[in-house]
Amino acid sequence: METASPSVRYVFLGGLAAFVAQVALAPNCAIAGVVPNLMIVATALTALSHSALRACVFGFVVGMLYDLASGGPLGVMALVSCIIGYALSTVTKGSFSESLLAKMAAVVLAALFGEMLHALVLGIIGYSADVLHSLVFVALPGVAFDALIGLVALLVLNALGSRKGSGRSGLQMDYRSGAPAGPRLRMGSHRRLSTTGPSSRRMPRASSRRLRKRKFD
Amino acid sequence: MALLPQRPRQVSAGVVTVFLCLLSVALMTVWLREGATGPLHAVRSASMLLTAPLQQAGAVAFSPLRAADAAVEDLTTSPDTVASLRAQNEDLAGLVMRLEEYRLENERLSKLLRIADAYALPGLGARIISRTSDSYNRTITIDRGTVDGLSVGMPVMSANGLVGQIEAVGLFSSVVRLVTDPRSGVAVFLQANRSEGILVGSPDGLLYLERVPQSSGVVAGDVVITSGAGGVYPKGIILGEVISVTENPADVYLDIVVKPVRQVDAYEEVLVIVGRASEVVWNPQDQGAAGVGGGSGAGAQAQEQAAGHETGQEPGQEPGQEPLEGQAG
Repeated sequence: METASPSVRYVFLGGLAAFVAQVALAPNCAIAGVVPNLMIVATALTALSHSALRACVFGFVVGMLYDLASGGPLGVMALVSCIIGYALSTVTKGSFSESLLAKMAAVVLAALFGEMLHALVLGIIGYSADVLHSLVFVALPGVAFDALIGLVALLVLNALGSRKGSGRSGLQMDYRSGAPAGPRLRMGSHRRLSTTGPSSRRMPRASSRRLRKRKFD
Repeated sequence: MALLPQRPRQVSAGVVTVFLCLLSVALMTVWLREGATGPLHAVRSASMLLTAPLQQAGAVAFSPLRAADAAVEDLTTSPDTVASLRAQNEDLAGLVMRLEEYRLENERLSKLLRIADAYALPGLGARIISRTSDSYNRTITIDRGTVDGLSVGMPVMSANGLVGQIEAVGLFSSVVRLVTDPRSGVAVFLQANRSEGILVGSPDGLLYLERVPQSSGVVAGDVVITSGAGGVYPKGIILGEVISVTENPADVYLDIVVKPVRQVDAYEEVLVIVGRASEVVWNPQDQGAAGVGGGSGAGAQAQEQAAGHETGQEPGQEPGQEPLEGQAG
């Protein structure tokens, strides 16, 4: 029987943890009626380290769970999370490389885009009567809340990954397979390395030199 | 021509995203078009079996923090506030004594006129296990469900006034939409001058009283209570107090802001009104008072009391005196 790869398990566990936190913890952390949306945060973090396909499916599933647990119409958060997952994963593909700052900016943008889109969709379907009011009094404070939680989670994951993977970022994954990348696999270069075929077996010159040096040390 | 080995087809992320987006839109459409008893609503009610224990666990985990917060708030109360509260307490104690006299008098007169007590509402106590888990809905989850006899639409109140209405019922838990939710609307009138209006919630937690004409003479400090119109909420439950009245020359109605009696965050228990002691109309054919909605619960109780009163004479009632005709609650 085929078992799921460790990465898929991590994604599944991450989604489950986000859902449990959203249902059990988030209502108790609300400030002035604004509850953090942990599904947007979880989808953004997944999109930074996984393929667009995996990110959009993850976003849809956790969004649907959010809709079931909340009082709003079913499908709204699923739509928003799905779009965020796909868009963020597609935009950041290979271009964010090592920069933690760029990832932090991506999380903040995902929070902004997600909360705004959520408020707009609710307004379009007629669920919230005053869209402008919702955008100002609900969505904007929500952006700040989500961004703060997202940044903390990003830093924690980064620190954990650095400790585990001897210097590599915690959010570096093999883009195609979803498996955690090795010490030399960077987001900007691993795509080329992970493709199948003869060319993928070639190792960049600098990397092979480093490897030889390490071997003889 | 030799057949080339077929490569497994890669599913495009874009195609999957479009499919999932369309599925979400379809679900939204079905959700909005189906009634409260539709299949998707039933799925949500069923999902409460899973989410309610999680919410309860979260509430239990955070209860020490909540208690500590309240303790710190009590400790940091200024001496002026304490003195002001003491003075207010003395005033209220006097008021309660006077009201008790009025209550007893009202009870006597109601028995004389055979009117059921519309305020003796049969309720079921429930514990709040969670607040809303998103920013766009103001709801609470309580630990009573269909096994306790609850159903969608039942009003929920606290010791201080109306809280909301049950929106979804699971087996062991229910979701209550608060009156402060932007989607809530309650038919009300002002206690002072009986001007009627509709009280709606808002995302900022305040209540807005709509459809009150400019000539109604509303002033800040007026108490807002339920009118009973619409048949959802019982009559006479306190909702809040008017804090601002603005006259708009371009509008025929006033802009009135109402502050809820107490924010629901402060509560831990609520009361679900399981039977309606609705407006009572005296019916001479029945030889007693009868509730419009079937006279269940307190209505029936009051009916029995009124019937029992047939044998005994209340002070002030002349022997053989006929009840007044056409009296309504």
